[in-house]
This record gives sequence, C-alpha cells and structure tokens, in this order.
Amino acid sequence: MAIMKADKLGVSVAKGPSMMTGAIPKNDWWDVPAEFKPGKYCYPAKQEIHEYHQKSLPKELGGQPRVWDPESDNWLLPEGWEAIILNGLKERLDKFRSLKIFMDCCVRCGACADKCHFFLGTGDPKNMPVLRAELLRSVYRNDFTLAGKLLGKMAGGRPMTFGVLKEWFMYFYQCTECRRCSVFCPYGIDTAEITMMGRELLHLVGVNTNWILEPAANSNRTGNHMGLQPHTFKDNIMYLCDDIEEITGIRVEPTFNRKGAEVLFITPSADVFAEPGIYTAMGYLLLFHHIGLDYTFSTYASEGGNFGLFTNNELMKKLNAKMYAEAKRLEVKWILGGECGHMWRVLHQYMDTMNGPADFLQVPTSPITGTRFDNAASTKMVHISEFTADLIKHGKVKLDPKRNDHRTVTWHDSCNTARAMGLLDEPRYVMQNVCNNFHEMPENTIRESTFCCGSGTGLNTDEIMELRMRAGLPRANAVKYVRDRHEVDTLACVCAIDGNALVMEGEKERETGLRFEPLAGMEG
Amino acid sequence: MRILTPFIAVLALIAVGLVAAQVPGGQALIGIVLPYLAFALFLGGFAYRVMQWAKSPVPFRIPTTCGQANSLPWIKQNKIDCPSTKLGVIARMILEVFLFRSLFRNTKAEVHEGPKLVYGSSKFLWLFAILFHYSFLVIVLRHMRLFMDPIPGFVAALEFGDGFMQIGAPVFYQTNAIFLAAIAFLFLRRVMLSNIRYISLPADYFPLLLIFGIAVTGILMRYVFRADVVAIKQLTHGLTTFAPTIAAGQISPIFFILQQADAHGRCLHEPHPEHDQQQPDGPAHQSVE
Repeated sequence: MAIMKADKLGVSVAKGPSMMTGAIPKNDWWDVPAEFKPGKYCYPAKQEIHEYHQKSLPKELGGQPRVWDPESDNWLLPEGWEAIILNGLKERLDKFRSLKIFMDCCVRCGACADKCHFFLGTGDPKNMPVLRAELLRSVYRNDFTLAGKLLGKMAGGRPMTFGVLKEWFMYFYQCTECRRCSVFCPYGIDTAEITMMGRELLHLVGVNTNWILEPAANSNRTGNHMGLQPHTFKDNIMYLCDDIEEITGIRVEPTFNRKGAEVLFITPSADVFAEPGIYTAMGYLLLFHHIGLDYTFSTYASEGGNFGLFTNNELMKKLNAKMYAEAKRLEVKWILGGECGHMWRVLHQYMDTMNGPADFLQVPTSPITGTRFDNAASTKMVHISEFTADLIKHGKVKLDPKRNDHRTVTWHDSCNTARAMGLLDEPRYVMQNVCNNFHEMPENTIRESTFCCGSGTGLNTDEIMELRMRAGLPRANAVKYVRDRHEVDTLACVCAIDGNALVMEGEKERETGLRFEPLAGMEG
Repeated sequence: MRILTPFIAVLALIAVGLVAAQVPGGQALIGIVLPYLAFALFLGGFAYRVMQWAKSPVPFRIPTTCGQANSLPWIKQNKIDCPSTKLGVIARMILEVFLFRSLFRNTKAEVHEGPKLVYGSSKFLWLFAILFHYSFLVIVLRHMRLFMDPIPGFVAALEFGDGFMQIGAPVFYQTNAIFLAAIAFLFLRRVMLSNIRYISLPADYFPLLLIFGIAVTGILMRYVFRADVVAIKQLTHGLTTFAPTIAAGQISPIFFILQQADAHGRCLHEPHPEHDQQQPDGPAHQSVE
C-alpha cells in the first residue's frame, strides 16, 4: 500500500472533505458502513499465534483461530457470534461499574468531539469519542435498556449486526486509549475503557490483530515482546556495555537473575533491542553503575510493556504477574521501572488490585538518598524519572548541562504517565538539570492535555502508516510550533515508541533525540 | 426526523393536556394520578438506576487525573486534580458536580493550511450549561411555595432576589429569562453546529423541547392566561399532604397543559438522572488514593 507523501497528506488534512474541514456526511452515521481497504486496518493475528494463546488462556476469550480477511464479506465468524458478543457485553457490564455508567450517562454534548487526535487528523465523524462510544452504546441500548427494547431505533438502539462488528473493528482500532477526551468530558466518561471493552468483545469472536497478539504471545513465552530468549537478552545488554566502554572507557557490569539484589529493574524490551531505546538503556546502565545501585535484570520479567492491556483483562493480568513473580523469586526489596507509557498505566491503575498488593516487597527506599517513595507504598514500584529526580535533588549525580547547549529541547508527556499517574514535573526537573535550552509546547498540548503520539495501544504497525501519521499530527504540529518559535531540535520522551512515531511524522523537520536519560547518566 | 419526532411527541403531550382538562375526570387524572405516578417513577427509577450501577464492582482504580501527582515531597502536587486523600477527592467531585469543572476546560480546535491546528478557548457550553442548571434549580425551589405551608424563608428570599428588578406585575423573575435563553442556546447549538447535530439523537432533543415547553407554559400561566394560584396551591398542597382535591372549574386549562407536559416529562425522562442534576461523576473521578 502506497503511503501518501507527507505534503499531500498535509493538504488532505487541511483541505480534504472531512468533518474537521466542515464537510458533513449526507447519511446518518449508522447508515455509513465501515469499508476495509489496505492501509485502513491492522492485519489479523496469524493463525499459529492465535492458536498459541488458546493453549494458555480460556479458549472462549479468543474465539476460533483461522485465516480471515477483513476486506472480505465473510470473516468466518463462529456460529451464533451475535449471542457471544451480547453475552460478553452482559458479563462485562456486571463486572465493571465503569462500563455500565459510561453506557448510560452520555448526553452527547460534544465536548469530546475535537479532543481526539484521530479525529483531528482524519476528520472522520466516528473518530469523535462520542460516536466511537455510540458504536457500542447503540447495541447496549437495544438489548439492555427498557427504552431501547421498546423504542428501538428511536431510542438510539441498533441490533448487533455484521456491519456494526465491522465498525467496531475499524474504530476501536483507531483509538489509542490515550484518554485525552476524558479530561474534557463533564461526566468523566473514559473512552479508553469503552475501546478496551470493545476490543475484548471482538476477541471473543476471533477478531483480532497480529501486532498485538504476537508481542503478547512472545511476552508470555519468553518474558518480552521481542521474543528474546534469556541468553539473547543478556547478550544484547552486554553489547550495550561494550559500546559504553568504547565511548566512555567505563566498564559496567550488570547482573542477571541475581538473587538477593536490592532492586529488580524492569524496562520495555525495546530498550535492549533497537534504537532509540538502546540509548535509554545505556543511560540506565551508566547511571546505575555511577551511583552503585545494587540491582539486577530478570531475563524472564524482561518486559515492562503489557500488550494484554490491548487484548483482555485476563491476558493483562497474566503478563503483569510475572513482574511480581520474579521479584518474589529473586527476593528483591522493590522494583524500579524504566520508561514506557502503558506499562505505567498497568502498574499504576491495575497492578495493585489485579496481582497485588505486593506484601512480600518493601516500600521502595532509594539506597542512595534514603528517600522513601511513599506514593509507591502499595505497588512497590518506582518510576525511573522519580528516582532520578530524587538523585539530582540530593546532588548524587554530577551534571553538566552545558554539554547539551547544542540542543534545544522540548518534552512530550506520554499519555499514560501524564493522565494515569500524574508524572509531570519529575521529568521536567530532570530536563532542567541536564539542558539549558528548554521550551514547552503550547499549553493545550502538554501535561494532562498532552496529545498522543498516534502509536499507542498496539497501533504502531506499519500497515496503517497513513492513519498513524494523521493521528500523530496534533503532537507533531505542537512540536513544529516550538521548532519554528524556539528552534527546538530535540524532543525528549518518556517512551521510545512515542519517539519512533514522531520520527516518522516529521523526519524532514527535526532531529529527534531520546537521550535525556543517557545524558543524565553519561555525564556522571 | 431526529428533531421532528421528539417535537411531535411534546406537542402530543400538550394536546393531551388540553383535551384532558376539558373532559370529566381528566383533571383528576392529570392533576392527581399522573403527578403521583410520575413522582413515584422518578424516585423509583432514580433509585433503581443507582442501585443497578452499584451492583457492579469496581475492580480497578482507573480515574483520569489532571496535574501533578503526589510524589517527592519537594514536587508540588495538584491536590485537587490529582488527589491522594479523601478530602482531595471530595473537593474534586464538588468542583465537578457544582461547577462543571471539566466542561470549563473546553477548547475548540480548527485546522488551517499547513496543516496547522489551533486551539481556542470555548466556554459557551460551560456558561450556558451552568445558567441552565442553576436557573432550573432556582425555579424548582421557588415552586416550593406551592407545596409547603408555611412557605420557608429561603423560598421567599429567593423570590425576592429573583425579582429584585421589580419589573411588571406579577413581578418578572430573571431566572425565567435566563432559563429560556439557556435552553434556546443548548437547543440551537445542537441544531446549528453540524458536528453536534450529527451526533444528536431524538433522546437529546426531547428533554430540551419538553423543558422548553414546560417553561413556556409556566410563563404563559403567570403572565398571560392568569391561573387561579389559590386553587392551584390547594391542589399542590393537597398532593404533598396526600389529600388531593381539585376545586372544580377554577383551574384554567393552561395549568393542566403544563401539568401534563411536566408529568409525562418526569415519567419518561427523569429516571435518567442526566438532565436535572449533574450526577456525581463516575469512576473516572473517583478516589485515586
């Protein structure tokens, strides 16, 4: 599938007929069918990947493994799939109060409409969070409310049909669960929750994507998304140590699966696998070496990310559990976590009541500064930027921000760390201490109003590149703004995937670096 | 169709009121039976809805937070938007429920050539939502004079304050005008803004039209087709004391039209606690301790 050139895409966004440019579809939204064309959808899971999950998860959660084509009119759905979906919906309504309330309380005020990066970039009405939710809500009304049962369409109800299912597959995979819309909703309706439930229901009838299920399978099998086996995981980190020695002359000696270490360090496996994550990982290695941290990697809990979050609760729980399992096996005191957005969403909002509380661990205390991280008293897991900010505050690392004078930097708040845990000023404090030229992006695009990079929730796959570029537009646009105003040339991120997405978006415009952690360490 | 159907429904309700006021027994139906039925449905429906919600557990703490979390002691926490104590959560909920704080954040995005996105402040929805809800509240409280004897002091004070401009006789209440203007805004916004029109359902127009109808008939009754307030009070007070009587022939049909619209409005709509009160928001704003 040919990808539209950036300049053409830009014209299409600003001038093409879309709801963002004032064009209104002739038909009501329920009469506009979802059409699958190349570039508009993520590829379904490979049959063997799907079969692999069937081995370790309850079969009914994943539907029937098969080869199917989203562009075809026959998705080879199981017999009675409508009932499977409706039963699944009922089960989830009984399980999650959030879903029930979100299904009931929307008044379609439209405050969310233009808050979604997918809507801003595509102008597709069904990317307004309100309509995304209505795709599910209409089915809910039809089958679960009195008004819907009596009045049907007049009450905004729709029976579950193949057309509706297609809409779900299209638009629940054009939402990155970034939750920006929920900041503006007067009822606090969280579209991420609706998207998650929508995806769970799709999985029940075997409608899924490979980009999510394959990393999840890898994670289940080897402990990380990349499918790195223990020796490879170790080798990769040792290569980084060689590079570090070459650059700095310092030999760092990390340990693996060492029982009795004080701290277990967990980061997304992308950090030990590919640029730019490896620079972040080199930074961690140097920093920990410099401060003399007693830590170990686990080659089994070798992944912070959790693609179960994008699949279903059971898989999320399962993948998350290995962190605690390894912490227990290695008899560490607490867990230190690297970057990554959704890893922190799972940690901060799910882990504690899903697999926790981790009573066998201790309240994290920095062995270097003695600071007790009481905010992590229950999950026993501290974010690297809190940990580093504390080190800097106590003067435990020597920093020379002048070394970064050739850079002008801005900061991209990851959606999950910003809106799910309120991690906003710790990274900014680190930034202040490692560089002299720092400029914020406009206020509507940072902190709790931060824009998604366009690649979250397992949508960072190449087959939907145009969609990703459109979704990344609001973020890229804000970066461009500070580049034009303040000659910003470096975008610092908490997550390597965010950075990846943005490189693709604005390659010509700027040089993207993700080296804030490495620099903090390298200069130590 | 999305507007026409609810419009016809509201007209039909008014017509039923008009007819019923003239036929034997109709006044009792609309003046006594329906109000009780409506009120029972309202309370019952409200309680049922909340209990239905409460039946499902909350397995995860998943609030969306805004602002800095409780972290290192020297990093300033946003104690209301990202609370870590019960008090903070309560403060956040109060601001949300009484001041519609999230709506206050509203912005409007535009795309220009480039492509360039710009975001402007957009507070009109917040402003008119606040005006609508609070003038509605004042109007409901003012009407308490019809249901209570003696009339509570705050009701009299409210009436005095609301009519302090002393225009016309009977005195003109500002909230009536604000209320109508706010409903008109909310309605026109739905009709005129193409994207809002696109997402609106009959269920969104119906309450607006209905409430508009109630307000207009109420105002007509006060200023144009003067109704016999004493007789009405006898009825309403009778309703609250469970001894309802209708003084035959003294109450003008306009009252029954209002009553009809009102009663059915409550029956049909208010079990959905979406309009008359901003419900305490869902899990998204719950405790994040």
